[in-house]
Amino acid sequence: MRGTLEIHPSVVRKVVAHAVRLVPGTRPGASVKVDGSGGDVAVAVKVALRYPAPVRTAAADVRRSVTEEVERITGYRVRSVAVTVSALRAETRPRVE
Amino acid sequence: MRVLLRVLSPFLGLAVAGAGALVVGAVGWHWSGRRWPVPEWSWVDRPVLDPVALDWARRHLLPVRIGLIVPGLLVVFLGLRWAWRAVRPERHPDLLLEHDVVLTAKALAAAVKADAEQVSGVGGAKVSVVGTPALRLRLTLRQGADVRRVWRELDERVLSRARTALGVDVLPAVVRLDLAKRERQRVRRAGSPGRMAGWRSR
Repeated sequence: MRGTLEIHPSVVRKVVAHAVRLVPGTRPGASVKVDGSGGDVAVAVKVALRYPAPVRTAAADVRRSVTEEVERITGYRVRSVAVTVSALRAETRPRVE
Repeated sequence: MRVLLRVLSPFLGLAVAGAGALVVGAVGWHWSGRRWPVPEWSWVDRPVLDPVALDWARRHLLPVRIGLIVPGLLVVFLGLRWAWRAVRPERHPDLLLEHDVVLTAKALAAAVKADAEQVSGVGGAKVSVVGTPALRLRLTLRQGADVRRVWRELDERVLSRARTALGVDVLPAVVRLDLAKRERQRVRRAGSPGRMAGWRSR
């Protein structure tokens, strides 16, 4: 059987967003940008993280999760994952006077 | 007062620059041989320098010119640099934590501000990222706030959490504490209960 499989960029974006959600400490609503073609993509994500979780660790987890999930689901090679932390959200606690 | 100075300083700089341009124009006009009429009483046409010094300067014209032009250019350069620093907007740099990992200044400032406003005795906070990483905090304290406690909690909780998030041991921070203006209170006078009977505290 012959043929080609093309995966629409919006699908890759959804896979990336899903991979970000899998990382503990991330907040919903990541913004995703995917560049590239021919099974080789560069990903840029903007995420909100739980505060005060270490940002470097969380970013490394996001990068690993995105790379693994995109490669597992689409078979594409992830060239790079740029992580921008655009919000740090703390658990709200009652104010003590 | 600081705001007033900040607003006025560019105008002051422009005025000084204008005065400098006027002097340069006047001197150039004079050197070109064209002179405008001056009244008899004016000191404009009289030499400012002592005649002996003037003679010496005429005999060493080149070094005197260089000695005047170089400091003049230096002053112009320093003045322009100072004016630019006074006028330019303050930078709030995003933090590049490692390759391809950026924490926006807005995100860090908002998180620290939210924490600082949770400190007991703090009525409001303004936080800016002014370095990579460095913070500036301006806290407005409520009347009766325990300053020592605020300071301790600021270091042990607010800045400590920021250090944890950034993964650094040292986080330079400039902290300014302001005391909130006393809230206006209406006081019930003991001698006139009838007049205040209808007033209700909010």
